[in-house]
Amino acid sequence: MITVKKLLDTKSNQEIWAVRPGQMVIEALEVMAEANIGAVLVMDGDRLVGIFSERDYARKGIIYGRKAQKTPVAEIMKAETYPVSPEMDIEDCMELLADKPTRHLPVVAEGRVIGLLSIGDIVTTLVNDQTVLIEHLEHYISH
Amino acid sequence: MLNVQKILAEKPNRTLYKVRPDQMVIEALETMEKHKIGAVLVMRGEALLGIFTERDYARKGILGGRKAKSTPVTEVMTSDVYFVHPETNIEVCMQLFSEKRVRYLPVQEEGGKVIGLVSMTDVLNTLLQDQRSHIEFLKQYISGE
Repeated sequence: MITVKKLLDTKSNQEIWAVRPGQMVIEALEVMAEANIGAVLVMDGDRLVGIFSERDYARKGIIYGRKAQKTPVAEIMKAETYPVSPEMDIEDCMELLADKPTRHLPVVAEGRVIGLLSIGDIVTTLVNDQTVLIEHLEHYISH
Repeated sequence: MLNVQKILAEKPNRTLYKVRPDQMVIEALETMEKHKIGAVLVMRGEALLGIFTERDYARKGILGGRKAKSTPVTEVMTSDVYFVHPETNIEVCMQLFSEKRVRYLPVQEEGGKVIGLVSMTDVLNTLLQDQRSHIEFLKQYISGE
């Protein structure tokens, strides 16, 4: 079984990228470009307050007259997130990504954010581990 | 066997959203927002010139000093596109997403006509749909229905 913990461990880019809610959108975009990622966590100290993604910028930015230099991330981030825990497995992530309007899942352990999984991470793991689909079936049959 | 044809058939909305090469980035963004999509095809008539995605905008827009209202979409689109075909296996799509780091694959018919666009989300939905129907079948089989 592939757990969320294992998913995190096998990511090539394991650093946690975050911005503060008061930082400007342009700063978040710079972090995302530098880290080659599609979303950053928005953290108020140790507390997760949202996720800011390329999608938020494309959908809620300039077409609503908001400029990247003058708009705080908090204004267009998604405050509703769908956290997963390290013990959950890849199927749980797939279900969430299919059912919820998001491409990113923060990983939370004991109230602390320890990583971020994207739909791309899930696809890469599925490609590298073909056994997942078989295990998924076995799991259901045995229940 | 899961292939692109099956993925397209299961998409709730198969409309191809396009912009012309002379249109501005802001018009492409408006189209994407209106239809809740993450990318549009850039087409001159029947010819695909590239794809414009949320990522192109985030990476090459304001960070490259470009304004959405005065930048033609061709200036920031991705022109290096990876095509798939209706018969292409779902695993090949997943490998392309993973290795090429793209989120969208345009679908080309024999003869070159573009007939669809497959996203990572579409692939994930098809995988889950397929698993659910297998499970239903197995459950019925086991319970002897």
